Amino acid sequence: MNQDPSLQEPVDEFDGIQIAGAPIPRSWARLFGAGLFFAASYLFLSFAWPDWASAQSEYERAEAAEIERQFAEIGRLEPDYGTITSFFTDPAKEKWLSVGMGLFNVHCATCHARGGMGLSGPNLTDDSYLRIKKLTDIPALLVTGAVAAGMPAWEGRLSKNEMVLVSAYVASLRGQNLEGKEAQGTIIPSWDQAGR
Amino acid sequence: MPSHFSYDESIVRRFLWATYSWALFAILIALAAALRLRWPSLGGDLPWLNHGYLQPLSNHLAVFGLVGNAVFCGVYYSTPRLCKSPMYSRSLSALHFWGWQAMLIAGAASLLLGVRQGRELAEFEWPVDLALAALWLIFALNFFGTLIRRSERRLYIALWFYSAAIVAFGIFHLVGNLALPVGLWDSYPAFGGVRDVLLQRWHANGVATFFVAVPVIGMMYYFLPKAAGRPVHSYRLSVVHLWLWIPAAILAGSHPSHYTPLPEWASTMGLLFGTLALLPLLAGVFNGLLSLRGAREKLAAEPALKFFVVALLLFGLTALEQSLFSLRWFHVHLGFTDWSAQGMQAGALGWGLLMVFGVLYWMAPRVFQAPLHSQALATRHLWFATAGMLLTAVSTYAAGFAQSGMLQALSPDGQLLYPEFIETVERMEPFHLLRVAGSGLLMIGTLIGAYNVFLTWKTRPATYELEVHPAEPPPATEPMETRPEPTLTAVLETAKKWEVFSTLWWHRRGERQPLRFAAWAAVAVALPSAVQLAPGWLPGSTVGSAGVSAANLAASHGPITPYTPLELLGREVYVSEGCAQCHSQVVRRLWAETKRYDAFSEPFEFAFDYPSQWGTRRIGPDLARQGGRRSTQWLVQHLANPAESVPGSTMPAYAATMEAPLDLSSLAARMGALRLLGEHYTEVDVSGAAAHAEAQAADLAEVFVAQNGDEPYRDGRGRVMDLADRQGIALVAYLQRLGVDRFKEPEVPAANADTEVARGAR
Repeated sequence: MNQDPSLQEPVDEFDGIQIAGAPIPRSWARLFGAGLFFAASYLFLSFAWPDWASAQSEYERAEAAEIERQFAEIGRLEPDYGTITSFFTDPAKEKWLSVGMGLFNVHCATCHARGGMGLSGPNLTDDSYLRIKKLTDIPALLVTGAVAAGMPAWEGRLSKNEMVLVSAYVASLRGQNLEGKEAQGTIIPSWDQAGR
Repeated sequence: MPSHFSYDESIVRRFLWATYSWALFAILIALAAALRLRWPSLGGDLPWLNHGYLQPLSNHLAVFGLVGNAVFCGVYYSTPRLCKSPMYSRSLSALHFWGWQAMLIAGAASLLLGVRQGRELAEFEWPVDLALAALWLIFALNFFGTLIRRSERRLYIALWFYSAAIVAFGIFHLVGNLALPVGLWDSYPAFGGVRDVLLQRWHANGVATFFVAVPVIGMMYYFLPKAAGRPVHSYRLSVVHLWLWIPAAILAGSHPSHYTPLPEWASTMGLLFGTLALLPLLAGVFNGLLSLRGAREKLAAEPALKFFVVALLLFGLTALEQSLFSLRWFHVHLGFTDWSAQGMQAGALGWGLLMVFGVLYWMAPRVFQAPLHSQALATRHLWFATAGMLLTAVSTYAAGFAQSGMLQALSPDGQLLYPEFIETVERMEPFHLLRVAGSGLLMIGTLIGAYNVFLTWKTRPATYELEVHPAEPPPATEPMETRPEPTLTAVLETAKKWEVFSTLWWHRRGERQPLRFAAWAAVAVALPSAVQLAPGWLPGSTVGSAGVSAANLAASHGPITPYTPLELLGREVYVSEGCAQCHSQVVRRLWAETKRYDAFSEPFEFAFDYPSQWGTRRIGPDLARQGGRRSTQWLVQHLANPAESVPGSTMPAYAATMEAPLDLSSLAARMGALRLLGEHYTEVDVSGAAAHAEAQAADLAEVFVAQNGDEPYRDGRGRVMDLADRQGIALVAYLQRLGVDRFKEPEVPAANADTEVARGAR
């Protein structure tokens, strides 16, 4: 068949517009074939390897990789005095404080400010605390929150490891006495004297 | 039957003026919306100047005002000429014209007043929707009446596309806007939760395809060969173009469901058909551009043709972009960013706008019977419009990539690299500036076009010459096409059937029967639509819905409970302020996303959302899990003065909601309507609603004061205000509720004294 429509017998004419009888352009037909081939291959692959095409398994893979990465080095953390202080006494573990800081900046900084000097929430860089008497009260307060005062409970929203890292970061802020919200609550003894 | 007739050109002239008027208005609003996105308090803190008001207004005016009137203009010009008979009824034409403009004015006014459904491209409330449906019926009667009374034997290609568009948009409009009215200016959609998400997406995609793309391409099939003086390249390609396009476009509509709580098979289907939809779209581009072969001199002399060529090239680019976007790996970088909302505006409207202006340039000298004032100005219009469109598209594209790149970036130790959302908003600012420039260029182009057409009109003759045509008798009866015999003999039955089918004899026959043709279009729309909407209705589907009684829902989905009366009112504020224009409410199944916003959303969590507010982009953070993440005090202060609590925020201030009184009078009607839709509330809930809302508001206002260091709320002028009877407290109650049910311990049934007031009170 000839590709030039002007040489084709017109199919019809309306209001002076002719419809030429050119066949379907070969380039388009090839694209069409390629499209069908892509669709068929994708369908086949998604049935043959369901994990490959599934958003759910993509998510689970990311999660597994993440947990492996986090726990391989520091293991499962317990919210006790030794574990928390190790993050600011052991230089090898210090980089985990920045992880705690990252979490703090995502979840806590809107009320406590970046750096912890306080906005609507209390200043965390001085020696006065409202609900904290000793170091391990910090992870405990994260679990329950202080709902009446506006602090949400983080149980179920942060993992246990993440809560320990945030606690370590918050504990490390103490004593910087940054300019910010005025001191609230009572002055408590330093972490190592406040009891374990 | 009269022996002579003439074509009604006055209706065409009216629609032409209406197109330009709405174009200028819609583009002005788009410019204002772009400005307010960058400077949220520019021009004062008036609510109707907020981006959340202006963006949907400009989208609706661009679609129903600009493109709508332009399509009617083209249809009323070409249809009678292609049928060699006048339009069916002049009074229906006039009724259609004036009714449509009145509907648009009412719709625009209602959107500016915050009267809206809160659904993408379906914002008009039910009275406007009903008017639109009635006007569409009038248009359809007038159109199909003309086709039936035609003096041509067959329907020309343009009429196929018009027919399909009229039938299809009717279906999309009616089904997509099913709602139960609550009073004169409010309603709840007939289906809630994920079903509403499906319907919203299906409908918005249907409008973009069948109200904009299909009829505009129909106009191309008339005006392009007319202006070029060349035949349409291929009859066969036209048939393939239309009948592949309808189903593929509809089935492609589920690609935005990638990574969302919708079932994965729907996402896979969207991916496959989204990619395949490229082919029918390219068929149109091929057919248009190939028809221009050998029309080189015409191309230089006829401004309309230049518009058509650029429009077709942009159409091809848009098609390519859309099919790439339907791939998951691509979608992940653009979904729920600045781009996804603008895809429609810059894409579908971009090329459509150029096509429409090209048609107007061709028509203006003919209907005003005067030569076009200036070809040079027309070319300038084209370049301004193209540059404006490209700038808008490129800037939203860049903003989308930049933002999602930051939102998903993780540090080597697995933490979010940009934990603060506001950083991503700041990164988008230069792109939002470019977008202002793009809208500005488009505005300049349109002004040039309007000026050019206005000066053409100025040189019109004192009275228009009326061309009188002898009435042609209906075409002589000719036997209907019959199925030809296969010429192949030594092959399989299937091959023979295919050979007979591909002679297209059945299509030739259908072209003589407008109503049969319309019925084909209806089937081509209905079947893929049923597949697309199926995830919401298939038995055993996991999408959850409020058709299930609350008790059953609790049994299967845990502690998901309906909104309390106060939260319900807060939700109304959220919807009518257009918060969903910038905030999404769905956490996708992406690791970085769950890291930022907590657990990904499950379908059943949306069961009580009428309408659902998933949204399409994130100028502000996702709010699906907002409940309990911020103190009540913070939320109140943030709504009253966002820039203070989040420096750099581009959210407008909603201090007015803290002053507006809380109106409890609509509660009974609202909850009654929701009961009709899905058994959410008991009668006792409804009768005790006002008291319950008051109590919850008083509690929350007290919580605010306690968290605010026992200081009461003060407005901008320092006046003390009790929040207990203010709209703002309802909005805060709603925000504090979002996404928390999922983490609640299931309630022990009937253990609480106040369960008789409302379930889900806490």
